[in-house]
Amino acid sequence: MVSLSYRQKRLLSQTIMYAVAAIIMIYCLFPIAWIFITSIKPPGAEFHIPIEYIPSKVSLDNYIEIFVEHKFHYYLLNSLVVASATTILVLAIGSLSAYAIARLRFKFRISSLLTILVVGMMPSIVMILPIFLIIRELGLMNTWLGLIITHAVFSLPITVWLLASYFAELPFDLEDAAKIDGYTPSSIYRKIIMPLSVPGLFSAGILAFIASWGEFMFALTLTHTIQARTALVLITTLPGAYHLKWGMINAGVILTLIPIIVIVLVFQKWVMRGLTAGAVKY
Amino acid sequence: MVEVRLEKVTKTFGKVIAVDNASLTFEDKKLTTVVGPSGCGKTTLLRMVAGLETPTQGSVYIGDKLVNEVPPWDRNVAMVFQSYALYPHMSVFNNIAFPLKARKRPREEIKKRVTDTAELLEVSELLDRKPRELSGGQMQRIALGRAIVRQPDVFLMDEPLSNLDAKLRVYMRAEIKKLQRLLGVTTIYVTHDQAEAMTIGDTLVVMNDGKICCIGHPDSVYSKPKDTFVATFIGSPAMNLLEGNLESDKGLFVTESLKYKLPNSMTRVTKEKGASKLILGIRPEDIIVENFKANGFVKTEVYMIEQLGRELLLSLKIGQHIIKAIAPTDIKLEIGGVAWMKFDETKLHVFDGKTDGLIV
Repeated sequence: MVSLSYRQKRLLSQTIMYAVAAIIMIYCLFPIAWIFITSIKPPGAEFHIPIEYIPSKVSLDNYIEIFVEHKFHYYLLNSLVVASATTILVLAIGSLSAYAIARLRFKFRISSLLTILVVGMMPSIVMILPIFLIIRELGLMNTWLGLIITHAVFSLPITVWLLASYFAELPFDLEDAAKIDGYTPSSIYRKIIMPLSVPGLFSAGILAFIASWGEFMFALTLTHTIQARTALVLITTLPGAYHLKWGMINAGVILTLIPIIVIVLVFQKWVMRGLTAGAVKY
Repeated sequence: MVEVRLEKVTKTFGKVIAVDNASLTFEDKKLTTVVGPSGCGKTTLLRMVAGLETPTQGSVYIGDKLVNEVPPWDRNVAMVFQSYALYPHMSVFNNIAFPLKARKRPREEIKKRVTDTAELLEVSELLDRKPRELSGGQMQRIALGRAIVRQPDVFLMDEPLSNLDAKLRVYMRAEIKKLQRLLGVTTIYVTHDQAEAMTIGDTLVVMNDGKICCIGHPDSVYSKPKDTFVATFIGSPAMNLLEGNLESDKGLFVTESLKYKLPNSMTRVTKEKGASKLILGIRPEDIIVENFKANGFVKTEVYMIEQLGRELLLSLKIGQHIIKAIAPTDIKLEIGGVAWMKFDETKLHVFDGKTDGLIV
């Protein structure tokens, strides 16, 4: 065995580390890269043998087709409206209940938190029938609102948990000081708690947005036309009875991915701060 | 004129009695310090005056008004917290202005009052900063500023200096005292530091175990402690206590290791009270120590010598007892050697061994 100097050992361990990281990256990113490559080939070129890993001809026809033939922008709009409204609704309700759980002394504090957790752990498939019936009876089938309410229900548990742990970190003295300075609990919530919780709200909000944007089962069940159907669901309906337009489907996937990537890149600083809430002293 | 009055106030948290049947008056325009060991209920007492806790029983009056049911935002009291509790997302200016904004004061008035307060506290150049850019002492001043800007009826201070370093603490102590004199606002000052409580307070309240042990001028609490708890808690280093019996015919105070002739007047009063088990108390500074034998002095062994700078703190061993004494630095003693000591008879305290109360 050759004995290595300290420098060489460090170099070796770093090389191994980067190699492992590269393998993981390729493993995760290859499907997405493959989808992207397919989407920019001219229609029909995806079936060419031998496979062109680097397309010889680049074309945006797939993208044009999905917009023109399927009015994909309407579905993107549906997704956007549903996910944004879900986020706002979840944050509004979730932050209030998280605040109550984190801050107020009441009898069923812990049991209510556990109840929320149990609801959050329930597989959504067991809820699909009752929710389908409820939404139908409310006359909210195939509407934005029906989907928003449903998505909010499933995002609330994680939001409450995240925000409750975030609020619990804020010093009690701040609220006591504000009370003595002449503020009622509701204005303290607005002027002290909310501004100090921005990172927590961001990370909870982004999680809710991504969950709603990527949710498939309820979106499929509760919506069926261009009025309310989301982009993700549309993509699954694109394979026709007589042809399979992989290029166009992949273009749809890329278009659906872009907003999520943008959001995560823009807000990653906030997300990280929110997810590590409580790890270090404020 | 605003005095704060507590009548038979009790506060319990579940089974824990934090404050037990406390009745006292915080006098108008005076600075009253409340001192006691941690967990004695002093902070709870303060929070009840602030309105942050509601008494389980009893009444709290601010001025003539019963305030039990009045929420903190409707009481005109200001509070300084140990943690300062500055709002981290607001500038110093907005921190100080925050209580004025709650009262919807006109913008010009807010600006003027904040600027005046900042000048008074010598923090004018900090107004644009955020709390995280301030040092501990500066944060402390801002917290004070936020309290005085609104001209409250009562100041409440909850260990406001505990987070400062020793030098700054002594300095701010004087500043707070000066400020309180200047503004003439009734102030309740809670601390666990008995030296701080002694120096800053017009009146001293000692608490232990949820109960109020004694109320009085710092000097009289120090020179005539009501019981052994107050005697040992107030004053540093603490008063020496020796348990023993009185042989009443000879006026001798007897412990396992020491026989001490009490002054006749003390023996007489003690006899009248009918106490035989006694605790003899003497403060370290009231013990005279010499390195030679003199009349009336008792032989002891030097157990430990601690340099306090201005003087020496000696631990003297008699039999099983260790007695703390203060001696001038120029005395020639060594650890393990012999020292001779004598109690200053005018400064002796005699406590009842059963009730711990002061006899004479």
